Amino acid sequence: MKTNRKLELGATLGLITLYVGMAHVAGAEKMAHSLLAAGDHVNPLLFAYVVLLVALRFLVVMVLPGVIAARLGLLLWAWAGARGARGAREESDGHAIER
Amino acid sequence: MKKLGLALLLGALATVTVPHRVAGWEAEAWLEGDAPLQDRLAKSLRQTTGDDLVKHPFQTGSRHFDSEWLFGTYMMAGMGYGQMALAHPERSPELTRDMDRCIAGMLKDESRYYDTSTWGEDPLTTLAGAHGHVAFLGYLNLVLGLRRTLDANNPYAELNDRVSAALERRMLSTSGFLETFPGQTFPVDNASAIGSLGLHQRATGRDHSRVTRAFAERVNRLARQDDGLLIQITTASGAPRDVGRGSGTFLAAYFLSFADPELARALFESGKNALYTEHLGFGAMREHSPHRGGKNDIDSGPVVLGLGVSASGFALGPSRAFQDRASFRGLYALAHLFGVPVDSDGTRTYATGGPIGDGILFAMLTAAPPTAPRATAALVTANNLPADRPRAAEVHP
Repeated sequence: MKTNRKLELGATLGLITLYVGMAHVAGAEKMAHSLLAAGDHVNPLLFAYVVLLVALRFLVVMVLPGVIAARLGLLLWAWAGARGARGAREESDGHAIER
Repeated sequence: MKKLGLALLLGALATVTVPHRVAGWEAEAWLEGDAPLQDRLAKSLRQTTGDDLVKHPFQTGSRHFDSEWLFGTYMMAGMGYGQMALAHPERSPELTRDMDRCIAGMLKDESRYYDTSTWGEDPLTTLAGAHGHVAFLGYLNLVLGLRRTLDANNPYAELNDRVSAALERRMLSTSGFLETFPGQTFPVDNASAIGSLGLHQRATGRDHSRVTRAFAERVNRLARQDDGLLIQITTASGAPRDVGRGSGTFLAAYFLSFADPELARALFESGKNALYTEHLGFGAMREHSPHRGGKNDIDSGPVVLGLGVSASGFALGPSRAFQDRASFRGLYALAHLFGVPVDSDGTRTYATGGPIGDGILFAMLTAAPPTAPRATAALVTANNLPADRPRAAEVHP
């Protein structure tokens, strides 16, 4: 597997893992409740955590499927192109041998 | 260039077809009343209404709203448990215990504070009086009425009788609406009282049809703007002081499904026609009609690009009750996307909603199909508003 594909796969899995992990921490720690219970003393880190969590969920649910579909489409395109080129090359090699 | 075009095309196709299905994949199960799914929220709220709310009380910066949200969390959770018990009678003993815990929570001093402090008197020790107290009594009595339909001789039966009698007497003594707080009248809170009387009638056979019919006539004559939305705030005599809004319209439709299915459906259909919007398969309700606009407040919740969190959340209830599957799927997909559900140890919590968000979703996602109590009927429906009646379309701030 090429390095950039490994990176893409790693980034995708990392994003999903990060989201799932953060969501479970938010659920277990009842962060929304903590925010509502914080009154005038909302912890900015807690607030940032929840905002990041929503952004991650949006990325995972709304954006990632499109990115994965586009990437798979390009891989398929490249594979089909390579296969076509190989076929053409084999055909031209065959002609050369015949000559 | 061809590669870029292909990538964009595939990306767009996937964005249009996949995310709303991922976010809304549980919608059918909720519509069908899937018990294991309902149980996850029920278990989570069991912890919340058990001791979480005591250990970690709301601190919104306003004691009034802390109290109101505490009351609201117990109330919505109580409705969810009751509706679940109606749908799964074999679970009734366990779920009615949950309801009793919620009712006890609603009766706590901290839960009553928002009403007691505003009126300067306790809503339950002044049942013989004339003040409305409808935002406390109506909502409380809904849970008491639902509890009564599950067990006629439950420990709160006598309280249910007394509150029902007080609400009926007060509703019949006015030609408009009961006040929520002194000088503040919200028709949606009156709808909670009517819904509770519907449940009381169903449980006891006591006839409240006169007040139910009178309320339907008043709502249609005084408190619906020309697109059928329920006016959010009126004077006690019913003169509009706000425009019709999604949050009030859909919550009232949910409440009225227990007493007057025809009016409930009319409100839901009007609201849906005026406010529902769908993009990429995700549905949402606007808080205000796009032709009118209006102000937002704590009742509307956050409003983003005109789309109301409360309106969308409350609309889940009547859309389930009336089995409007298309709008339910759209609304559920959106709630699921931004609610950030977390399942753990057999529980479900919505990470961005907090206890009150979980409570509201539990009540709305288990909303029961409406059944009219005996001898009640709405006079007119939204889509057949009498042409000769004055319309409550003009706002008089």
